[in-house]
Amino acid sequence: MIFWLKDMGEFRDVVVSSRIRLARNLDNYRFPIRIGTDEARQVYDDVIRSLDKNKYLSFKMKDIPVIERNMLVEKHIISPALLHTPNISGFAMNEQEDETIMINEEDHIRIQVLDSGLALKKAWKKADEIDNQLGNSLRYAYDEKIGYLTSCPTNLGTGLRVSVMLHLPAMEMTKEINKVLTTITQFGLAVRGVYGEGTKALGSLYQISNQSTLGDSEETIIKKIDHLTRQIAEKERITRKNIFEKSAVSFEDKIFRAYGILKNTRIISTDEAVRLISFLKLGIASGLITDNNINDMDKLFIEIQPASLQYISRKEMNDMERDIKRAEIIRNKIN
Amino acid sequence: GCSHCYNAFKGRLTPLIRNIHGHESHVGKTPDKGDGVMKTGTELEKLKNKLREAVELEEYEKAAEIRDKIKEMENL
Repeated sequence: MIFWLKDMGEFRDVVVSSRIRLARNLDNYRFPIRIGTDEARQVYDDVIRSLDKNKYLSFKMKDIPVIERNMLVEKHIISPALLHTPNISGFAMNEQEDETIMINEEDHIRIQVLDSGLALKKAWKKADEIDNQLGNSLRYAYDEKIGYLTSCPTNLGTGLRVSVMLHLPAMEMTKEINKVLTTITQFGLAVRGVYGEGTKALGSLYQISNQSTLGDSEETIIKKIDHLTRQIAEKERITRKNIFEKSAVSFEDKIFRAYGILKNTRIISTDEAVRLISFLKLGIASGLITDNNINDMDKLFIEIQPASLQYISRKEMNDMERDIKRAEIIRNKIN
Repeated sequence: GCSHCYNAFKGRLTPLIRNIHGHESHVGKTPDKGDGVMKTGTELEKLKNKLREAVELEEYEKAAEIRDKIKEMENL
């Protein structure tokens, strides 16, 4: 199950999710890239001790089986980088799985809050509270002039990374997406694929986030991304409407073909599945497909990724076995 | 390899930081949550940054307020 994905949130037809991430370090320890094993264990213990035990469950990475680790990355609960140093890393998360505190990733602490739809202010409020709670008992590495000190200078200042995941299939079809992406970059923001830096834009999903963390307040960074997301989401809505009005039949054909394949497939790769689910979501948002909902499709998108699939099946599988299992899950999930 | 390196290599790091972020001073949350004593110099710098932000976001009323505060401080 993916608990943090819900039906709620503004612009849910375009915005899949909102995410807030805060980077923090402890003053008296070396950064994780230079840290010793004992020191790392102390960091882990210090952080866990500062958290409310009734609210968060804590895990050491080395105690978690590899498939499960990757499944957590696919669900966006932890970052891919947390898996790079499994002997020193760990994390704490709440029951709803929308708040994660990662320990000994690139920085000692990475606070992450997830929510569905456009909900940046709400997510920031939660992250800010966790940060205050940790800051009460831990001594953060902080400098009057350059703010929170981070392992990589690209995160200095606020240590804040704000991101939204957008589903932009219509602008992709009309190629308007290229113009939008250029504009985003000119605003000093970054565009990435679904699973972060260097990953491709699977299923017409684009992740937009702030590039700079120093010089603007948290509030301003959030406002900038919120404003821009609203504009892009409106544009995507208009583009969807235009395509539908101009070429209704070929639009419907694309969507119902995707629906037909997904409902009947027996073997399917991640790439194909993700592409077709994207069409189906477009069909749902346009009111053409009424027996399924967007939320279930976004969950399905995650459940058919390689590690999640093997986790659900409780065994390791080769490519062919995975493609067969994937088809079965999709057929069962789609009404 | 630790947070104190930022201070030790300050001279070499400042231009790099400016290159990455386009700014060299932090605006926003502080660990002491405002109860610590701030030096006036930093406070003024922060206000100036806030003014720039307000103008960028086209919040002119807020900008005017901040501008007045800056004038007040500079006259002290």
